[in-house]
Amino acid sequence: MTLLRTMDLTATGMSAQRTRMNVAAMNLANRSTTRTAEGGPYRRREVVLEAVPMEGSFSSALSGAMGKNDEPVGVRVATIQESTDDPTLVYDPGHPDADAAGYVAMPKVDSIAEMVDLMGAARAYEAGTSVLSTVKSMADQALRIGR
Amino acid sequence: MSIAGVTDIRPTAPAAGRTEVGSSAKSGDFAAQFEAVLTDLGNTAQSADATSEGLVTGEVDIHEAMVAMEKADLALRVVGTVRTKVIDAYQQLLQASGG
Repeated sequence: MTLLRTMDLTATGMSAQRTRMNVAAMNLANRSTTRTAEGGPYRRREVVLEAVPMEGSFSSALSGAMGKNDEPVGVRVATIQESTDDPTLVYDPGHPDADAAGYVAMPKVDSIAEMVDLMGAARAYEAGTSVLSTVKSMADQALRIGR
Repeated sequence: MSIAGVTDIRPTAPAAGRTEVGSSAKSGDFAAQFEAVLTDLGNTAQSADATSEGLVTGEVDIHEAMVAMEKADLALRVVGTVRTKVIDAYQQLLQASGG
């Protein structure tokens, strides 16, 4: 596994964390959205990540089939899942989307949990940048051997 | 059980590849290999170019563009180091024949 591969690998992780941030931002932005194209209030979305071998090379397929774990494995977004939780009912008779009893179905988005998710994604992204700068300095040092 | 047979094959495969590279280098193919490396460098630089273009149009994330540029930079420096080494070796050979 060369240093360039390590950089590619780290980049996949950083892209995945960017998606997590986007989804957390989307959830926060829509936490009082009562109308969607599918009807009903907005439903909270969640990112599902999965490990994928870097570039489907023969050697990675072979070592995967033989149960060896020495091939680089990147990450990608498998799916962005909609939560199936029931919406929260809030009493607000003046709201245009209130039902006959005066209750409005509001998205079940926990702002605190979303903020924690956002911070987790930001920290993981930061970890990716640290890996990249370490890779860079390793490459610099390796090139210095020849001088 | 059948897997045990396959495991034995694996370490010999890269070794065979390595001898091939070595023998082709011995037969004076270094220039061709260096040319291949240069073509590769060109590709890396081109992809860096494309990603920085994508960064401006908003299609590519900052980190992807930075990684592509960093890779191009690293590849360029590696090629530069190899070139310096090759020219050094050539000059030493010239000195050996001259004096």
